[in-house]
Amino acid sequence: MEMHLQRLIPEFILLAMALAFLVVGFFIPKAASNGSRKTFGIVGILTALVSGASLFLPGTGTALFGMFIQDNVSVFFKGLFLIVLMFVLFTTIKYERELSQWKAEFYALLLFATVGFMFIASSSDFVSFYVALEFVAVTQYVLVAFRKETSDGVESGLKYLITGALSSGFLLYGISFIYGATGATGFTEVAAVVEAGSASNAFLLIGIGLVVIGITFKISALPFHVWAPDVYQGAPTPVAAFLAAGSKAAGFVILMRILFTALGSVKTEWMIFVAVISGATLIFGNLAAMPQKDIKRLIAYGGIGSAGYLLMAVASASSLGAGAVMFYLVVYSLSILAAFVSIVIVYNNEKSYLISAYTGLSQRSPLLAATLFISLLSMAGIPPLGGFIAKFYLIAAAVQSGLLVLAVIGVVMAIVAMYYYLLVIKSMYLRYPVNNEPIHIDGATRVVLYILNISIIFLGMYPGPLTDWVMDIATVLF
Amino acid sequence: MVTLTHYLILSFLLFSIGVAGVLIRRNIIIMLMSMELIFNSVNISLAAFSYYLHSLSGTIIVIFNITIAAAEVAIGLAILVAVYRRRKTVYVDELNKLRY
Repeated sequence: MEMHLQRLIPEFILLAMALAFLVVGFFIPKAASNGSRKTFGIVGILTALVSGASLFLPGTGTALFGMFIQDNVSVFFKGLFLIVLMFVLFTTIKYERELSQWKAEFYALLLFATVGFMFIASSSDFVSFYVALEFVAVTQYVLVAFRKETSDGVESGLKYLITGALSSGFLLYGISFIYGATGATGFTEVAAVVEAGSASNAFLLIGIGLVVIGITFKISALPFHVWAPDVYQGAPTPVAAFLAAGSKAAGFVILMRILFTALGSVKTEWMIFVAVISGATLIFGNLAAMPQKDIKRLIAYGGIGSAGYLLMAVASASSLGAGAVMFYLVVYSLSILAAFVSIVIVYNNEKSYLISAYTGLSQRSPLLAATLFISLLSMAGIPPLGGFIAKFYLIAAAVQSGLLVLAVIGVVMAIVAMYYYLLVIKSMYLRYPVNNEPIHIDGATRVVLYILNISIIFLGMYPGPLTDWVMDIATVLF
Repeated sequence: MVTLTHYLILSFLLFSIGVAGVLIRRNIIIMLMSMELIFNSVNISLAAFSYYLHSLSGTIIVIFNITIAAAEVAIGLAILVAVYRRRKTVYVDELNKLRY
């Protein structure tokens, strides 16, 4: 129980660069800002690489007097967040024409939010967890409302803020009950009290319920899912990708830490509760996705459905489930990023997010159409893509823990998901485009799209090394 | 004699009023005020637990929470000003442009 600041080196690197962005951005004259945008993005990507490399330095253990824990799970998730950050920064470079009033803050806030995610992944105490979560929330409120001169931007920002603040209230109320029941805030101390059976049961149950409901905001599950479609539609597209991939992963790592590590010994009490949320989320997300006409809203509802699948594995309360969650989050993040890079490129040409803008895309740009084909089918869970193996493990975890009804709902909803993703694919491949003008893609974008596509296919064909690794590190949580 | 239960009931009542305010009221400023009520009701519950459990961590969360709630409401008011400039309204009913 000491400071051990060397274990925070990856966070400090990002934090220092984010602060430097703020300072440097202040001195860049308006005339030069066009040229400097790309530089900021590239420097950000390089910083993320350096920070990722430094993840291997510090070794495992606690820091900040037990508030911060560096174990294999947190290293895994920090790596995932940094990968997401790199691709989101790349998307921002492509998107920046839309940020008419460009400011260095946008890049700085993305870096700050990633630092917050990394602290969430490492928190081992309700206090540090809550502070890290609010740090992320405050940066993301600003990011979502960043296009403040557009009417969609401010509306989505306000909706995100109100749902977010309400969910933080629930979360904190839950934390207060868990603290009242156990008299402790550290996850291991809470676990010890709960295991000894000396915790007040009623307070503990109310606390667990409120904390889980509070975290559903981060993972966009019922009952705090309402922000997702509006925010994805109104926020800058890179931010939507960042929320979809990063926020979901951060929510699940902390949900697993709280439920498995701190409250693992009372799992019979919360399994059914999480299973009910999971079933409701699965049904709602997938059915509501069907009539959508805007591709970002479609992905948002698809994302709500994915949260249902992931909660299914959390409800199974086994290390198979925890490993499945980690594997799914990797595949899901890659698919989301591939889809959003393509969406940005199509938007730059068509100025539209409607699915009708994708009509005949395969004849205008085979690569973009193929990327959307692979990423959407991966999210739908079709072999041989990564998403199939991921869903397979999630459902297997639910079956192993005896949640058969939930597994059946999951399989049925996978078919529904196929329907609405295939509608997009149908209009891309089986329809003729309104204008035949080919879409130009530059070299860097091509490389990024190839990397994402190949990794999604690779994880589907040869998942062995990654699944072995995540199943191995998942045991840390128990 | 004021017991822990009294404080918890007070905190629960304030929390419920706050949640009802966010869900029912349509004026964004009143919604932000209700959020402050939620955060402060939780502070009461945390402080009460902290006092009756003879443990300091609850009080520390309260202090963190006061700071965080202030930061959150600052961002909230900033976004509200942006909304008002753009849409000339402070009622959530009229913010219904984002739909399919």
